[in-house]
Amino acid sequence: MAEDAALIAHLLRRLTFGPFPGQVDELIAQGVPATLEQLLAAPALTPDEPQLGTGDDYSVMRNWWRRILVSRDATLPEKILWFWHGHLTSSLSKTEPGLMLIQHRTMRQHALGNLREFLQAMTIDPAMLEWLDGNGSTAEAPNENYSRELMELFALGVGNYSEADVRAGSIALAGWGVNYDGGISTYFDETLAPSEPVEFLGRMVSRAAEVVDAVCEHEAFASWIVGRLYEFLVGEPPTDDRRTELASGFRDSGLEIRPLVEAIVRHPSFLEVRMNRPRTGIEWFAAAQGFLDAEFEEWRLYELSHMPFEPPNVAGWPGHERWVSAGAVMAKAAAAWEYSGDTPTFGTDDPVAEVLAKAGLYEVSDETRAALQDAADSVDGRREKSTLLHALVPCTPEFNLA
Amino acid sequence: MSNSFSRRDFLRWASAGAGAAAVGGGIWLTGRNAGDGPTGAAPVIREPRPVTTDGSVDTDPEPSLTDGASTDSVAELPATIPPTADPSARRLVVIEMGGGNDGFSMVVPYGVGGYYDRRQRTSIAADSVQVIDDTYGLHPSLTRLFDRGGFSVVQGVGSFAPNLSHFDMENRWWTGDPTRNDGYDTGVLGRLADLIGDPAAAAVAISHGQSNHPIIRSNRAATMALPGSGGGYLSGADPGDVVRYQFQQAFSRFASAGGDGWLGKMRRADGLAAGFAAKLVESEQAQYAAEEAGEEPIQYPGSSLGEGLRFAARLFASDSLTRVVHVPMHENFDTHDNHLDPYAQIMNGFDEAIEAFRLDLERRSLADSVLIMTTSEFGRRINDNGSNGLDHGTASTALLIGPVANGIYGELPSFDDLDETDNLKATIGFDQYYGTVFERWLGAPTSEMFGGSVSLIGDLLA
Repeated sequence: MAEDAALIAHLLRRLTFGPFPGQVDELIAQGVPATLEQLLAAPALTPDEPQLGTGDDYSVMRNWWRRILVSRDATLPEKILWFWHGHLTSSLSKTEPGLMLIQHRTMRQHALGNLREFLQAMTIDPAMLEWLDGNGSTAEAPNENYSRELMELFALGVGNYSEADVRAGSIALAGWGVNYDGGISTYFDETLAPSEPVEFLGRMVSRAAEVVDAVCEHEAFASWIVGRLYEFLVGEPPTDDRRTELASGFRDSGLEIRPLVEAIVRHPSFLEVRMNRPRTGIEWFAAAQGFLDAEFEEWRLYELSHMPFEPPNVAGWPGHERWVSAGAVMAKAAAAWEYSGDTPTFGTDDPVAEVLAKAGLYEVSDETRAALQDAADSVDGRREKSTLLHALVPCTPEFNLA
Repeated sequence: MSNSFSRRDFLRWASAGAGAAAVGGGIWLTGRNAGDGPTGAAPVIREPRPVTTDGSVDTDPEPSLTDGASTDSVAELPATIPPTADPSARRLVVIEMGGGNDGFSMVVPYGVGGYYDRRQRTSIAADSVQVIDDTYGLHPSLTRLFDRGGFSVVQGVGSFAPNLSHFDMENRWWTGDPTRNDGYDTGVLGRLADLIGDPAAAAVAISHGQSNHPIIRSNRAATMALPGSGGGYLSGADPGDVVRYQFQQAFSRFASAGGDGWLGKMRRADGLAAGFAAKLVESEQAQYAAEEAGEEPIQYPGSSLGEGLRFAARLFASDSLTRVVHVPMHENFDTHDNHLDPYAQIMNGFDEAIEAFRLDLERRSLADSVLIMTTSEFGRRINDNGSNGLDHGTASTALLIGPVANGIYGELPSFDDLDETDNLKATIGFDQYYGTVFERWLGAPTSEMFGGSVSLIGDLLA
């Protein structure tokens, strides 16, 4: 078993956007189990909301959440909120800031709550109605977009529904729209909803809430959600046995999200999956600027293609491979270099160990360690040593893994 | 514009695929109805396919206004250079005129009846155009392009089922599906890179912008946004610049350590980045060396287009594996009011940048291997509005510039047979336009890009 510091750093990488300098040192005295419990018990943030209508609201929204996400305040609830943002997606690109703020409130309310209630709320959320074309859809001329994505991406996965279900779902979902008069609200127009029930996933439904219930009670639902959340937290898919076990517990809980998260994280295997995936764009951004005690410019996060409120499409951000690219490497090297000039000098006579600990890296390959050591030995001045090592560490292969 | 993104910047840079992008290997899921373009073997067409706005074939077409390709009548333009015969040596620059470029101001149909009737306040005077033939002339500001020659004009490019939203049509052009904005979850240049890219390339296609543009999103091939930083961070430090030099030395050791798993993949990406950075630095250093030796530097305009083209020329000269560079123009083509003067300024800047690029390519012996194609999400309405401007349109005119034959290709849409939004009916789907360039210039099998064969455009690039 690895040393406690490595395990604590791992927990911080997975359950927050850190680790940030000094965090591992603060937690190590209480040990790994207590740290895990502390991270699981972290309360959700209740941040002050962004002030819209005062400038470029798109920019205001992006900057507001980015600053929260990349801060030390962002703990497990914020990380799970980020998961849902990439799973039950909507984007500013087809909505607008006021809509996304309403959706964001809904997500904060439900992120660790009951998934059925969450999905009921998201189905008639104004931003979602715009994003997946539910707005104004009628039983006579239903738009299939939400019905399809609800089953394909959000809840069941391909193979667990038919085209007839997509069609029927779209009819039963009809009647909802977004009202922009005097603020943003949703409305339901019964005259645009179906007058007769339709057969959807093997039962008769005629309203959006019944569609969501049918999806939540489908045998594939718990398993699909377990798979997505497990992969987010663990970095790889669950084994069949583990998936079945977790899905069973999730169903028994009445689709409560927090117990599912805890069941995944508390399993002994969670401590073993260290560095089995790349750090995502925003994870690197947060950890690197924290390490350098800097605030990176927003455009650097665009270079890493991981901007809050702007998932690339309805499927959310792509898988692990896309976080590994030469373009991202160049962007990261530029950021690390530009912000390393003013970093503090080292207090010990082992600057490599000191800087790696500051970055939360306790399991580093011999090659990386040797390259850092030779670099440290190649310059004499304390200032130069600090600049060089601070620029290099965010560029190490290990810092780019989670 | 402040350093925060404007709405337009946002639309430009924001990720595409709004709405329900097909996922899970679904890039061929796009439904293509029968009227969307012939499938099967790709016959070479000279005549336009008459279509109605719903995309169905019109069986009783009105007589066309021109005869299609009319290369015979442009004998006065200078002879153009033949392209290199080796398709693998050919590169493509895609210049995106975002905002909706008015094709009839760029290439003026001064000899077509109806142009001056419909454009009361926004037409380009017949006596000011640079005469290509008795029907068309270049915008008066495109003097250098006219003098140098080597341009093919493609008429009537657009969608057979158009939409008038910037967002919708941009995303269609970026993803390469004329019928919808969410038909592919990859970009059209990303899929092109998948087909023609060398696996050893750090970037087969590059977008000259700050973020990973949707147009270069690929399945396999390496594509990237231009690193705003250039290559100097990872390559080229002087040993006397000790800290920077040691930074690069250590980084190259990360890159060369090899290995399996994610650590190995990360190190390979580091290696690609270092290699690409070296190419960028090499290209800069070659430029400095030439200037030291007394070579007069090519003067590019300071616009984003000028910067993008300068970058492309230097990169092409030093890196043979990057095949495509996408350069979005940051000019206001969206001329809803007061069209004429701003448009003339844009054309002047365009002409200046293109001329600099072509001189640069010539000097680097690349003039026969680089083709420029222009794109724009749509053209502008044929009737001008009450504000001396032009509202959103549909079909537009595109330009190919480089080692190509001078001439007019495709078919001018009828000015009298308009759609229900009073807009022109496209005569060429933009997938045909892309397909013709990708297939004939780069040898890419376009049937693997567009979910089926597209008809290539006459003898354009043939």
